[in-house]
Amino acid sequence: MVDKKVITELSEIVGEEYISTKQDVLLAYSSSASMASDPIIPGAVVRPTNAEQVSRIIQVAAKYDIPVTPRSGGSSLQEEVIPKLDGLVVELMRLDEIELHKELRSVTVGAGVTYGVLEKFLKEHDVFLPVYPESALVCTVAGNVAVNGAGPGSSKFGCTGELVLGVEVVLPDGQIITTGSEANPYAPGPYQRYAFGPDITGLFIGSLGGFGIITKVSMKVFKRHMFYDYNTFGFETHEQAERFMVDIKQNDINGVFTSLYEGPVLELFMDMIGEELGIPKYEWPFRTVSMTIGRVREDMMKSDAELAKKLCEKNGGHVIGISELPYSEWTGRLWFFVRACYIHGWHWRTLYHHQTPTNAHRSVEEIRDVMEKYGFLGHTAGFASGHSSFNAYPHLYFDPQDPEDEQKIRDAHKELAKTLFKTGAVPFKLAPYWADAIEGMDSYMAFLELVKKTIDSRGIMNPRVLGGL
Amino acid sequence: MEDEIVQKLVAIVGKEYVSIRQDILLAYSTSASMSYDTRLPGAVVRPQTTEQVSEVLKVANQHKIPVTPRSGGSSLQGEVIPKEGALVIDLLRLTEIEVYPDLRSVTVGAGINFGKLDKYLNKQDLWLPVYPGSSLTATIAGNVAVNGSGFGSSQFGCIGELVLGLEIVLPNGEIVQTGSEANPNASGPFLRYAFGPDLTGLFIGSLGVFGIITKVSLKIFKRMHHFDYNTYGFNTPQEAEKFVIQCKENEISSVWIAIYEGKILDFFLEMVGEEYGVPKHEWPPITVSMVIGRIREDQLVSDRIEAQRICVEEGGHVIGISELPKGEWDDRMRELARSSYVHGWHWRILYHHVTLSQWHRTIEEMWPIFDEFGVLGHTAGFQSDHSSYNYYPQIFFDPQDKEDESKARAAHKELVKRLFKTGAVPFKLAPYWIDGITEMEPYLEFVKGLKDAIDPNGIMNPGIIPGIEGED
Repeated sequence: MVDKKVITELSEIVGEEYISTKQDVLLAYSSSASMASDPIIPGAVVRPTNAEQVSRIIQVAAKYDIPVTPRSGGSSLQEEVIPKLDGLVVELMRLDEIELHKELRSVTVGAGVTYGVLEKFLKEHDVFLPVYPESALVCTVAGNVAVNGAGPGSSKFGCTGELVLGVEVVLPDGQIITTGSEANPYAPGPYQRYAFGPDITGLFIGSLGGFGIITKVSMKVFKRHMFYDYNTFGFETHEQAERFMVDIKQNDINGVFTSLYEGPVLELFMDMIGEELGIPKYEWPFRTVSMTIGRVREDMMKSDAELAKKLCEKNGGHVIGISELPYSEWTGRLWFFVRACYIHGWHWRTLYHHQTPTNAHRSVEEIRDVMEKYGFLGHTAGFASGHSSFNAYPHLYFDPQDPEDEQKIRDAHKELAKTLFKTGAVPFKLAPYWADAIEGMDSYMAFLELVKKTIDSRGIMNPRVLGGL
Repeated sequence: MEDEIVQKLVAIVGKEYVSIRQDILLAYSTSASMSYDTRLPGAVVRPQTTEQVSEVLKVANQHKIPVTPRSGGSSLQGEVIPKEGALVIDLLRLTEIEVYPDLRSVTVGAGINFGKLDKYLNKQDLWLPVYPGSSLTATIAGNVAVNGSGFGSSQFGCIGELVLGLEIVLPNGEIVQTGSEANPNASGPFLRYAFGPDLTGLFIGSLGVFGIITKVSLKIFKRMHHFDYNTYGFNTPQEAEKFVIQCKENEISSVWIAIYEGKILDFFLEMVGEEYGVPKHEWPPITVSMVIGRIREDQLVSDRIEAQRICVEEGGHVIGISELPKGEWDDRMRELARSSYVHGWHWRILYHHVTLSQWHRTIEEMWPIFDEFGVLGHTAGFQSDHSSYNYYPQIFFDPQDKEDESKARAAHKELVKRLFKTGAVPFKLAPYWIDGITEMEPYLEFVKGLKDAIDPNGIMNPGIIPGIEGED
């Protein structure tokens, strides 16, 4: 329960219409797309419409020491927006401004703008923000920055963090700051992140709202690719496939989405969605790389496509030539993964992490081991996610009606984080279960804790995240 | 410096690597920064390992001795001028290089300069494709600390964009590794955005105020071997600006783009034209000098044709003189330094970024100030990232003439104020920017809060970002 006095103060800021303590409304904010996590009922939900309102809200929360959970699309899968009991959820969906700076090749969006809405807008201007998280239709850009996300497009353009030019943040004391070139109030828009060094933009990337609330993000945008090549490449060993992934990057082939599938995992996917996508029946090899090449010019795309085939064969692979798989992945990039994750009707916990491309098989091995040990179904696939990283997304399935089954998955999940860490894998951000898994990072964690205490001395900002710092 | 402290330092690094001799200290009282007052430090220490740096910082922290980290000493804006009596930590003995071919990355100690690394990577047909103006002396760690950029940035961005992680010694001696290598099991650096929030950024452009960078991990790339060098003429700045924006938009792999105003180009060619073999030419009002680089030849051909198409479309003409961009690019590890010194003048510099579409604004602000203050100077620059342009105006003065020098300092100060109002931004919060900055109080307060917490004794490079320091 949030004190009535507090509710009155908050409704003076946003208006009665945009604050709620109704149980049915609070219930909706007690959970998110994160499966296998316990719902927690907040004390109130408030829906500001601009950064000034967010600032005043935070000041009220600080005055009364109320924990704050910022939330936008609610599509996060790792409990990022599950509130504290009786805490305050600050829902940001009404911050829906979009400002395109065509000459600066950048866009500024409010924290309530989803990838879907932005994509539609940018398309009219022949540009794109070329990284699409898996839940792009509901996921906001600001939310994705806060979780350090990646997705289709990252194989060429890197994680979302690489595209950020600056953020507008409301700090835990209510101060509003803008980072990057826009820190200069006279700047015509966002054009350079590395200004006014040190770079403080980074602090908020992957921060899970632990340092403040991101109210706006400014991102690089690019001229839309008009020319695409879709192909699949088969390999008999993981070394061949992984080598191929490195060669693609090293030879400047514009793979905008380069996925790596283990044979049985691909079979499982095809069972689920193969027919719907019109993918021909095929005896998939030990490893398949599914790649979309994108370019603004046709001759460049063709050059890339030819070279990719040569590099495939050089590495001992064969060109499969089935284009429907990468085509579906890319053209369906705003929803493909979400569908593939839910269509089978199971529930699952995910364990996002990055590996080196040449270590991708280690993630496969570890998840297979933990599946055998605990006796459950699951899989993992992944995609090239930047200069030399590979984003893997293991799924661990369970029956939500069976608490014992669910507990097993929670245990397995926890153990998997530990074993993956030992392979050299890294998390996008310090989600709670990673905090248990990491070892040998004491000075890092101590430093992070110092930064957290400095910025958020009352510890009101999303206290459940960042490993509970 | 007190003998007790010197002895503690000697115990850490050995007698040979601590000095309090006046002639040595004199060498560390100054740097490549002209028109900055020299200041004698109290001692210089030259550690060889991260652990030694850590031990040295513990001593400094305990005795509250101001510390100035230093490597190549090639910075131009007073970044490594110590506090009077301070301890200079010279990092040039941290000389490790480790290449991770599969991870497309390299880790270098804080003492490795761009020249040395380029030589090393060249053997493996790789490169770190950003070269600051003083590559033969500038270290990579130093360049990260000043948020630098240079040749190659037109395609690869500022140095910050290439950083995958850092090893830092904090003021209390703690050693922190950021990026994917924060995982001690990681096989090497492969991702900066790991264990979010991104702590790496805090140290990029930090000028050493939060700690000492002892190692830097960076992205590296397969070396390009196919280049196209050309010049493009325009009648207005706006045409030239649009041309460059369109080249970026259309994925032309430009590793170097410099936009020259006619009279500045004439001046520049008087200095280096003959040496580069640039033919005499009636240069147009605006000239763009561009180097396109590619790994594959067919890509290069495609880019060349596309650049020429865009040039004509934006109202320009292809000049076809290749010697200028070729001279600049081939000389990239020393060109900017050479052309800055060859005339024999002294100067103050004012690095900043502007948007490409506002390239003309810096020029517009600069000439009237030169007239008002009665100083000589010029500016050149280069396209530096996704959509920015890196300018480096130089204001000349006669070092023998105190009055002339103070005129240059005054003009420099005023230029900051006016540039800030055009929307220009500094790489980092250097002292003279603090005076020019307005309406950024909450931002500075935020950085100050971090500074107080990370460096409570205020020992790390004091005075270098005065706006974030407590009262002296």
